[in-house]
Amino acid sequence: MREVFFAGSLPRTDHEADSCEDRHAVRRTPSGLLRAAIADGASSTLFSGLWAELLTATFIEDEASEPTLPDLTGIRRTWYDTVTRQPLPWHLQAKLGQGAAAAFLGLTVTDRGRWSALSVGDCGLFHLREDRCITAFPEEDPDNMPALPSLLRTHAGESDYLHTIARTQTGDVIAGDRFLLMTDALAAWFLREWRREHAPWKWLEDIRHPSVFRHRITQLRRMGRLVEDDITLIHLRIPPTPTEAAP
Amino acid sequence: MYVNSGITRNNPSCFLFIIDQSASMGQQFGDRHEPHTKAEGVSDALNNLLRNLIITCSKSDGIRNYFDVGVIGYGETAGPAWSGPLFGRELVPIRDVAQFYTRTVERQETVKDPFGGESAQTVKIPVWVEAKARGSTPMCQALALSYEVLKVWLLRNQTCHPPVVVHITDGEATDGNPAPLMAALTELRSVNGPVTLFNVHLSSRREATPTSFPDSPEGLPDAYARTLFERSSYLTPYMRTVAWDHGVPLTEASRAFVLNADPTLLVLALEIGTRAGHVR
Repeated sequence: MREVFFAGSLPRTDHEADSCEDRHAVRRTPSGLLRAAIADGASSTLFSGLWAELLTATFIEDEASEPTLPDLTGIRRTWYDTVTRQPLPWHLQAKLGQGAAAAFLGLTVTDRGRWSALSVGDCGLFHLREDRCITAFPEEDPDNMPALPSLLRTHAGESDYLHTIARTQTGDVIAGDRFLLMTDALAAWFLREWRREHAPWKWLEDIRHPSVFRHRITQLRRMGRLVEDDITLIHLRIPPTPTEAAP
Repeated sequence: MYVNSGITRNNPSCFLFIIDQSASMGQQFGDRHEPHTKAEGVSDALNNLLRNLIITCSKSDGIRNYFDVGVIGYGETAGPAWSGPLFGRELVPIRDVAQFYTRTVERQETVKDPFGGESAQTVKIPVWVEAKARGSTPMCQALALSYEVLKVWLLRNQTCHPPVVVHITDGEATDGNPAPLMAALTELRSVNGPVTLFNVHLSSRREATPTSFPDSPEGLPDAYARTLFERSSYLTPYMRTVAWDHGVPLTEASRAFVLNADPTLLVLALEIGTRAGHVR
């Protein structure tokens, strides 16, 4: 079974393909963990796409089975060194002190039937089993989606009190379960449809190709169901363990 | 009906500043010990505002053209008040404003790094508008020109977030009655609502009591102040939110009007009138 069924990002409009600040990453680690992460770079901040990329890439490299964030000190240094490598025009130099920010969600699935997730901000995780959504994390109610979400920041401050802004969740997983990770605009739509007892995952579950993803998201946008924002979706399918798969 | 529509680079909004540059603007402004005229106070506040607006519009890949900006002055003449490369231009995309300043001044600023450190650095602050204080007060000419400039701009930008006009003055017009021209400005509109006109009156006397964002003409000292009040727009809900952020609770009837502003109130009024909201 293909465990990464789909992973992709789209800019807020077709005209802004170069400015998508969402990032995603998925990896099966050498020790057998399946780790996936999405990050939504705040468009009001500078170089937030790079910050989102560093957060996701570092998270999937980790071998911890518990929900732990990447070491921010190291990637803050990488971010700063990268963006200051070239001289910046005065207005970027003036804004650099505000740093970059991103919402983040990381998922770890072990080969022992457990999953754990960590979230800062308003990205969404949905755990599907058969034809039901059995967990929504970190929010279940679309009305609780924060207008000003907590974010992971390049500059010391709120992010250094992670125990106050990070939320975690754990659960059991069995073969055939699916996980959908998505950034806030799509997550808000998903929660609204789910509350109306619709099955929004059916709109997303068969997406395997970027062109189909683009088409589905375009349709939702044309129907006015999505706010104008970058969109990211990861769809994971949990394969049978080697024992389960044996004849 | 006023709709708080989004501002995008494909659907920019507009700020137009109308500034008094008459001789009386050469008078002392505020309580600073060193000589500091009203004209200098206005140009400092305006240059700082433009800088902040450009920083707001700055993204990693450049400046998003969320706004077109104009500065019209009146004193010796009435016309565009940009100094340097933008001289003579009416409305200018914010991207061009960032590029074409006339000079820079150096200032010490505290700059944060990502590791919790701070360092004092000398930063160069661009200047776009120089202080001027000469001539009479041809306010009506400036308002008429502003009307024409905005009317043409709105023909090309019908779906925009409604423009904001900030008029900064310390006295009365010497070329007629400005009230009908102010009324005409606020009758201009996009599909999302009318132009917002902000009137900022600067104090000529240190002991004058400032009045900020009144919701009725009661207590205003004279007919001129009442005219400015009547012709100022109601503050939009977003502007009231910004005022609330600054600890200034207002009502739905509050007007975009301050009287006898000192330097602090001038900066607050500019912040409330021009905080870039809902840029996407």
